[in-house]
Amino acid sequence: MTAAAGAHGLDVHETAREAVAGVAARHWARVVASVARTADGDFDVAEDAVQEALEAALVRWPRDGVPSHPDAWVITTARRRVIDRLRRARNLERKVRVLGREASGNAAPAPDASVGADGEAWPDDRLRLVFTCCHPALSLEARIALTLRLVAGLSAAEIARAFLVPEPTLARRLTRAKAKIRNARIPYRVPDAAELPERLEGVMRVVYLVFNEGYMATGGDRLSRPELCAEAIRLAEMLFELMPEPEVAGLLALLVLIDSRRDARADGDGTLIVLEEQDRSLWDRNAIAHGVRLIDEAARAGPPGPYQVQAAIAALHATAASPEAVDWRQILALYDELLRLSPTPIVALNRAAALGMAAGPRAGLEAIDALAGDPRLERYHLHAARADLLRRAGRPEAAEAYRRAIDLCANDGERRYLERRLVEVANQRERT
Amino acid sequence: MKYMFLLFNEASGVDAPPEEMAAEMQKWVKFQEDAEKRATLVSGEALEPPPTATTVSVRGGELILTDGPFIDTKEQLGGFYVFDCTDLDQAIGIARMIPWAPTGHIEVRPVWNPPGME
Repeated sequence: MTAAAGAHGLDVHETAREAVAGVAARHWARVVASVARTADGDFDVAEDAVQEALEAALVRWPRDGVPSHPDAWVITTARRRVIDRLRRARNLERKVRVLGREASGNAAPAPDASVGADGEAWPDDRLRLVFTCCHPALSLEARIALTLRLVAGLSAAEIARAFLVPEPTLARRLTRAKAKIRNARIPYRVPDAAELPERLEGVMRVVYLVFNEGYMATGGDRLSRPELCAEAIRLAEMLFELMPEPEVAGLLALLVLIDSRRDARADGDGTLIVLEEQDRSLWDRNAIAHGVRLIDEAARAGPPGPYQVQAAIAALHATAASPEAVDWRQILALYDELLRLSPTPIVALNRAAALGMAAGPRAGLEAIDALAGDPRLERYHLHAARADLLRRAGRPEAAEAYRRAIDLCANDGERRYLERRLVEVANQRERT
Repeated sequence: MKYMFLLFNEASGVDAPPEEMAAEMQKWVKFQEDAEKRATLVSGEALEPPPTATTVSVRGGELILTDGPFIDTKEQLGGFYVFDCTDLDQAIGIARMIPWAPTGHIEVRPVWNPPGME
């Protein structure tokens, strides 16, 4: 920037840059989703066109001023680039199909068209985008990467960092997934009514896994990755806005309720603080109220699904005034229901731990030992849950169970907590 | 007697750069001409590369999809179908109806469309 450009020149560039950043941050999914529809579900073409449109905005907006609906301008510009590219492309059939549709009244809006005027179409496009990114013919890791890239707008570098994989690996994963969508013709659409429940479950699973990775990082030196939790909550909010189903409310409530304890679950050096030892004054009351409201409203719609039940369990923890006030009988009843809805070994283990709290460690340990033979149950979770109940029962085998859990623990913050417990039970043994 | 010819190789060649593609295609056209002097060609297709495959099975009534080709040495190739479908969802819908879906696996692989031939 030369001095001659002056203060005014700096202002228009600054304003344009902020407006472009604003579109990328707030309207990313909307923009990508509607451009991808023009590109007939070819995400590579759509992504490039959006990128070019954002770059064009950086040149045009300082000169012409920021349009009144910057997102609509970006969408229109990107769609034109897609159409140009399709015209040039060799794929004759696809070109004819798309141009035919554009000509038959589904044309791109004029540069300054109001988003509101075409408002009905946008939410559907974002849903198309979500369902295509989470298509079950893609590997689970590809679904997660695509959703974070195309719906949440994270860069490949950010996703690679969050999942501790080298950036080239992540970039290849994205490229391969987009090639499969294009070459195997995974349709860019919301599934029909018959498939919808199963497919929606798949979308919710992807959002839940993103949150889970943020909440309890599977590797590295940080206990959690709050930025991933925040992205997962944003995704769940968007999904709930587009599809206000009770189970989607349940998922959003669950994530919001767990996240309400974010500031209380680690000490200064990132060591895990378990629920009963947390400073409850650090819990986010607004988030708790929001989560409880969501499940109360969802519960009126009929029998709850697994996310609602898990949210109800999280709500019982979140609304207890003290660790002693936790209603373990009620929590156990909810785990019984959850086990009926999703009979997986990890749910059975959590139920056994709740039984230990409701009916005493001995009952809980018996239930855990009954599960020990299940090869699907991760050994780490098994030993950590056993160690906790053995400690509560004052049994000397607790130390050995803690040692085994520590050996298998992949999270540093969690391991430091287990090590503290091991020291405690070992000291107790010496004193007695 | 009809015979099916199954073609195996490390790379499929369908994603080769255009300049190599022409020479590659030439070989196949020549093969086909020579072969058709000796026997009647019933059908033949090139497939999209293995990463475009989806493996479909049904277990306990539940549809199970796996990204990628079917790899198992115990199960043996026992037949094939070619259906013209609007998209992968329709193809998966048909694959799950195949009587072997509950006991075996169905690999669904798109047939290659040569550039400009659609």
